[in-house]
Amino acid sequence: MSLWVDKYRPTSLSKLDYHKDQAAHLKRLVEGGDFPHLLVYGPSGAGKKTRIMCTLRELYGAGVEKLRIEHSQFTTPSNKKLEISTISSNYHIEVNPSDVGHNDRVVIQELIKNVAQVNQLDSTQQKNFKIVVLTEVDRLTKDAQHALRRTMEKYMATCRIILCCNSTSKVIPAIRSRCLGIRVAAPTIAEITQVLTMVCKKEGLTLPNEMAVKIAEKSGRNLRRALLMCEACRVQQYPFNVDKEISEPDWEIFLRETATMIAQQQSPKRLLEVRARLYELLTHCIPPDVIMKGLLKELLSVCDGQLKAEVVQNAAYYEHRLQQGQKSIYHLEAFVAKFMAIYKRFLEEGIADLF
Amino acid sequence: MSWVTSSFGNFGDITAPEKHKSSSNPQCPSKSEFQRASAKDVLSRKRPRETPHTSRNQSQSKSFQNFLLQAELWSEKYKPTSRAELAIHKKKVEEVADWLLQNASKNGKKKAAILLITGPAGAGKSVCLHLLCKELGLSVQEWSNNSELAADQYITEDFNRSERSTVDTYSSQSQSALFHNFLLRANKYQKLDIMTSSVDSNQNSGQLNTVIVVKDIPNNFLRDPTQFHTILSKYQSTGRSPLVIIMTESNNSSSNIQKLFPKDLQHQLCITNISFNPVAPTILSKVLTKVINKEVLQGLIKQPSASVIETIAMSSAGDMRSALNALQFACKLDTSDLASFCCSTSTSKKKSSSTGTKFKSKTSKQTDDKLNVLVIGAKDKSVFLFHTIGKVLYFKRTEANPSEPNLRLPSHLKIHERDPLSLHPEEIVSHTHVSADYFNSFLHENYVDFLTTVEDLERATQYFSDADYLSALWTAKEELQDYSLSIAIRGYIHSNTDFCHHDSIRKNQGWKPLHKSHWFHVSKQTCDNLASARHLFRGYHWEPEVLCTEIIPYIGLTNPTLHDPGQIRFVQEMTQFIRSNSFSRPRQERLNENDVITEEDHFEESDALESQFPVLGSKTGVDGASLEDEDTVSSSQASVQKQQQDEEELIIEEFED
Repeated sequence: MSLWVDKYRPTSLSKLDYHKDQAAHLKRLVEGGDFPHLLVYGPSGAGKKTRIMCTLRELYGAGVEKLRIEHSQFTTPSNKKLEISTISSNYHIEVNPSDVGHNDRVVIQELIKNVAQVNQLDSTQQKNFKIVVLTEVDRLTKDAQHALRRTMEKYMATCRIILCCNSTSKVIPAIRSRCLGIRVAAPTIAEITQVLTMVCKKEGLTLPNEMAVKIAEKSGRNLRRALLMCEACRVQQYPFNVDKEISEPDWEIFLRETATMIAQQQSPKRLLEVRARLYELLTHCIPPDVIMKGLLKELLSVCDGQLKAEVVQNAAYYEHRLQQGQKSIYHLEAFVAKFMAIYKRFLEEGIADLF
Repeated sequence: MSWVTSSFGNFGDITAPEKHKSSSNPQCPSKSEFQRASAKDVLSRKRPRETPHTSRNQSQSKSFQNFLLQAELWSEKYKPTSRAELAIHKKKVEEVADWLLQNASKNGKKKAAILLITGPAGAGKSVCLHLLCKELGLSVQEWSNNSELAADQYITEDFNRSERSTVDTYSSQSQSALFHNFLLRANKYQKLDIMTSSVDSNQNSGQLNTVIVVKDIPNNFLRDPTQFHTILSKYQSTGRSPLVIIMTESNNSSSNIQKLFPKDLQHQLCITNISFNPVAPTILSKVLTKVINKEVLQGLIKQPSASVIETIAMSSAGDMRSALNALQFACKLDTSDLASFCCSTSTSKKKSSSTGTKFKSKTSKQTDDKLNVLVIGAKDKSVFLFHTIGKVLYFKRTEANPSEPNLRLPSHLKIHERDPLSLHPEEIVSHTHVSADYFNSFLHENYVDFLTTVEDLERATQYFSDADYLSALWTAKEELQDYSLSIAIRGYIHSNTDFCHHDSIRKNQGWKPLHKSHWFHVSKQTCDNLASARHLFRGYHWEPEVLCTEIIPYIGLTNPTLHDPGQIRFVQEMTQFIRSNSFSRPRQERLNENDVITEEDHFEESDALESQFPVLGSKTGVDGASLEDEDTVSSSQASVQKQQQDEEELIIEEFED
């Protein structure tokens, strides 16, 4: 049994549920014959990957759906063996270069070279180029991005690249200007509700409208999350009970508790407790930037209006540090301590005003 | 085999008649006998190949003997001969003596007693033990690692061809087997009195009490301590004589003592542990003066100044042997220019150039401290990580110099004014052996306890963040690491407003346990988890971030039928959080006084961590690799890959970045 997210993923451009205009554009792009490099960006759970797969299907037909998982090996100039798993069909190859960390440059160069050196077998019926899909481009090192820039031009004749990322801010301008940017915006609440209702109908379930709206709102306009939540609700309580809380992932609850701890007490001892919890989150593979974002969101809810600006500013500062630094715990902790100090000052002022 | 070796060693002695050489019996003359032997013996023992030839050459032997007299090491020559002469605290000596009395005399007990003596080099561990054994009339059998086996054969061959047959019975056995045999035999058979013509035969036959001493532990036990442990426990059940193991503590090798004698083993085998401290500088200088006086009386050397002795005592870090060697070197005729030994003045530089390459000219940065440092022969004073971190965390300030009013800050900056530090943090850190990055994370683990207000904390954390930012750039990491550590240390010290002035009273005084850095463990575990997540849920092929924050938690909630027990276990593991509100750190994370931290695994990680989060193409142990390569994901991109082929056996075998 696969997850609903996978099961009801649209497979062709015409079947997409929202952003239909964009789908039409993509369709015309494919029909136009030539095809540029694409840079698909947008928030998580908006449907970037779905659109990429639909476009590929539009280009090559049902053949792209025959997927294989392969392990490729690369050797760095320093003779280090890298192994990376790729997903590919006869027409395209998908890879997440950030899997190999700071050696991603080698992977990008070698992989694209390998793909591009082999021409399409039957170019009369198919397009005469292959596609390389690179995910999480925003996590690529600068080195790799520069390598990519050159590779993109060199193998233009036999290969097109589709890049996929959450935000273009971490992609160097040189790459941005070489690609056709396609922004996939997050679906609206109404669109998510509609998708949820449709999926439930296909599953043979009745989903009350309020419930659908509730899930959609809770999901933060992330369709993938909405579908996962809906499925979780289905497992825990069916028929759907609108009054019942929608279950959340454990780490989010844990993170919220941590934020409450910070707001409750400001002391070095509390920081140590928070540190232990941050470590716990990190070992559960929650990325530090997600932790930072989650903490900020929760902490802002206890803040007064005037404090918000200061807190957000500091969060931004330390989030930036997080990207540049090495040991994430230092920066997370610095933010927590900063918030403690700001918040404590605020509380003390409040008490002083009372008297 | 080693006891054989040592018996051969004595043949180097010029005065010893050659007839002893034929004795290749498997018993060992005690080390104490060697010590009674003079230093020429000691010297010649080190070069077993040369000595036979030299000894034959009668014309040379006279001058050679003279040379040896001079070359005698003071550390051997002035070995203490009585308890009073020992430069060790009385209590410690008594402790050892008590143990020996208790355990050596008595045979009624079932188990053999084991004593572990630890302490830094040159603290007098072996001297003390041998001396006490002598006093108490115990004979000593000592194990020493036999690395000169080849040399041994060479000598014997040379001397007595008829003995070849016995020589050839040397079978090459492994060190550990030899050690095992030694331990089991040593207490069964008495040593044969070959050398000492039964002078102390008053305690002969069964009444002879033997102490078995092990100073060098065969190296392969370090790799496989369990083997050593079994031998020890076997010895305890079968052996009769007390066993004394002497281990030198050091802080740059891996923690051998902890490895070979873990706490539970010590407990299980009732091993008594007596740990020696470095010799105090005052006692050291007293002993040095005594030695000098004796030498001067003999007219061999000139009287050096008291300051020289002082300097040597200070810079030898409590190592008696190294102090005596340094002193002897300093008093040698050709190096007797003692003033040049101390680099306190600029004149030393001139002199050093005149005396040639013997003197390393050291930048005299410490001249302002008026601290004389021995240029040659000074012991490298490395400090355990524990002490270094303690020194930084419990920093001290000295009184500000009132003669320099310019150093006072203007009134609007008064809050930042601090008294000068008594020790430079950089200097403290330079004595430790870990990298700056590593030190930094240990400091980070521990500093929070030492701050009392949130404002201090805010500033300190900010400095730590800065420090990390500075060291993160891998291109400049080498250069910037030290600065980054300085920022962290000084940032912490400056932010600690409880202790701005030398006379501030610490509010939360008292000892706080230090802890090991948790960060490396966390990052390693993160990477491992990430790798196994990616491997187990490969069929879903989501990006790692999505996988960990959305898919796996919801799989935990929805509980779909998973076909792989590995997946099920992993999901359970990943969705469980420890919610203990009572916050306490496990004991084993404590940093102990003599802990030595190896940095190996840390380097792997720092490498991997360079690109922040979902890094590490860690190699997973794929046993069905060939199978998987052919795997096709049926029809839809996202259908679950069901790998039922023994995938539960999958273990993450290797960790490579």
